[in-house]
Amino acid sequence: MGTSVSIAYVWAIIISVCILLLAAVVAFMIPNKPRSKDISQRRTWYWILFVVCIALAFGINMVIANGITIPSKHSAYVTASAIATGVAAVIYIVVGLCLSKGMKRTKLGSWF
Amino acid sequence: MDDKLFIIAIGGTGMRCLEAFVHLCAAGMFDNKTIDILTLDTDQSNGNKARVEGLIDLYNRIKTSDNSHEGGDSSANTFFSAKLNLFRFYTEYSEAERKTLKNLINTRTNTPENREDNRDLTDLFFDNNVQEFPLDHGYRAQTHLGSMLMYHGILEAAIKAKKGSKDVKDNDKELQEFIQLLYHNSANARVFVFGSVFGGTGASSIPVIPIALRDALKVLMEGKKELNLNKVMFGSTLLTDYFKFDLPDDQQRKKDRVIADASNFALNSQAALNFYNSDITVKQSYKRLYHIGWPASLKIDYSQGQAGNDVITGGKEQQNPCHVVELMCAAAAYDFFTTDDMKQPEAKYLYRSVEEGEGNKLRLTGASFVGEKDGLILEQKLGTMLSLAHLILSRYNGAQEGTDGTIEFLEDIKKRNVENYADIKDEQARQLDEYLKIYAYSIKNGQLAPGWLHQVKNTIDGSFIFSDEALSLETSILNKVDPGAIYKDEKYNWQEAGLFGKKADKRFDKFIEVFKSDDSNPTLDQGNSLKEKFLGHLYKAITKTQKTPHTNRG
Repeated sequence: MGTSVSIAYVWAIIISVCILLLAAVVAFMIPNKPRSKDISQRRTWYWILFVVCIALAFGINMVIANGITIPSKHSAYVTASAIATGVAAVIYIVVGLCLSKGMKRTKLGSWF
Repeated sequence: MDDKLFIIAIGGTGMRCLEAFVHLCAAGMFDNKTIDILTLDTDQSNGNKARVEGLIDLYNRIKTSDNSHEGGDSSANTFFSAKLNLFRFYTEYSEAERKTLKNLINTRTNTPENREDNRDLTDLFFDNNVQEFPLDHGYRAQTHLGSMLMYHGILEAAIKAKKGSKDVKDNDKELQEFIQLLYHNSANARVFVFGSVFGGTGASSIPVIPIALRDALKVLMEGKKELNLNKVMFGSTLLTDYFKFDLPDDQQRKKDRVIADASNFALNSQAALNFYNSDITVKQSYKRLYHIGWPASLKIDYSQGQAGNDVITGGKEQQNPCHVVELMCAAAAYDFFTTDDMKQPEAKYLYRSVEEGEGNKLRLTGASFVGEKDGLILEQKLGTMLSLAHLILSRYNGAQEGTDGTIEFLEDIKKRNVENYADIKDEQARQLDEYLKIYAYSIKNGQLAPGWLHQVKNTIDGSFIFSDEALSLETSILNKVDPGAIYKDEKYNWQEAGLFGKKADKRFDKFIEVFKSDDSNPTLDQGNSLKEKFLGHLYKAITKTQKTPHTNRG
């Protein structure tokens, strides 16, 4: 099967963006509470979803890698999957940081 | 040109009416106004007087940003928008030779002939008990004596202030300052007098106060200038009896000689109203007189819960709870200060009926106090302040001892990246807590201490503007009261945000979102100092979170 390693990066990007959107939805769903209890809840959920993002990005790519029968291509895809997971993590954190600082008076401001 | 506003509060009841008036100012009913207030009493240590003077002091500390500009400036569309200047005066009866009328007429400065004449004249008008009771707890419903002594006290202070001798006291100077301020603004001055017509000091002073001020000014100006009572517009309440207290026993009667007897209050009121309706001096010196009364069957008993058996005649122990009629008096002052109907040459007598709801119980709305035109404004202003109180006292636990609600709120918003108010000092934040506790309630050792608005609600047998929960007297209810659901009419409560959770949480959520938005940023008219900006920001956020703005029906 002729699977390109770029697929690993595409999946990682899609997953990180989707999970980030999910984190934003969760953040907006948590109501403001006195004494900032909601801020720690949003922050906790943001990092839980970060772990989910990494696991999902790596897991999906591993499932794809398992379908690759040619050893050299399998090996290259696994390597790409590991790097793509890192890319997903960086995208999640960097975009999350930019959104949080850029909209710091919204609920996303609670992330950082 | 804007009218210059003056308030004169006289006696214990007058002080409590002034207290209600100060709370209206704190709620923002007198935007862009500077109001000069004179407290006038015979009883220097009176508890009600001390309480309201302390309240005005706290009000001014809240408005003060730095000590160079005490009391801040007037502002608009915010809490504490009016600037209040306090002047204090009391007639001096604490020294032995001034303690009773008998001592006063025998003063050393009189010639023997004068003293003899004084004694004859006094014996003609006053019986021995009246001549011998101590005057430092007020005139004890002896209005014939009180009117003479209050007039004399004001003129004596003016004479002393004019002479500038070393025995001129601060209170004499403050009275002088107030009278001069009145004179300098006499072309457009409105003076409202708070006091009852059934008690002692207020009832004695209301008829003579315009004349006494005019004559005192004449003394101060050596007869060269005069206060034109046709230009200076005076108004007052004709507040009849609304409370009672236990009758004094024989032992106390013997000890105190003369004690105000609550069973005579209705009779005193009737006689006073007859006098105010026919006295030409009153009719010519006042422009508007507001009849305010309370059903006899609903009178509250000030003796209840009081320690000891003696009737409290005055002094620092006299700290009576607040009553809704005092809010009605404050509302009368609002009407007096805002009306254009002042052209008539003689006093106009005004009254307003209130609605009855289910079971013939009272149904008090904003309109019951200030009329249809401004009723909704009053409801909104009092409610916005009450929402703030519940926000700080309940949501941020400020009502509990040892917890600083405003400090917690400031820390909370800082964590939400609203950092504009980080420089507000803890002491300044605590002043707001202190005021809100006085306005609404506090909790001491798990027990509720009702503040002004809760006390007012407690005197109403029927409905008031706000929901019963919002003005509950139960700690368990107040601990979880919703600051966004204080109105009986749901349309004035706060909007909700989010899809899930309790309504109260969704309302709070919406408030915080509105507070953080740029729309709620304070504007210049709300004040320049950091504290004023913070108060303006809170005011805007609360009013913008309300579902429907209370608009003027006029």
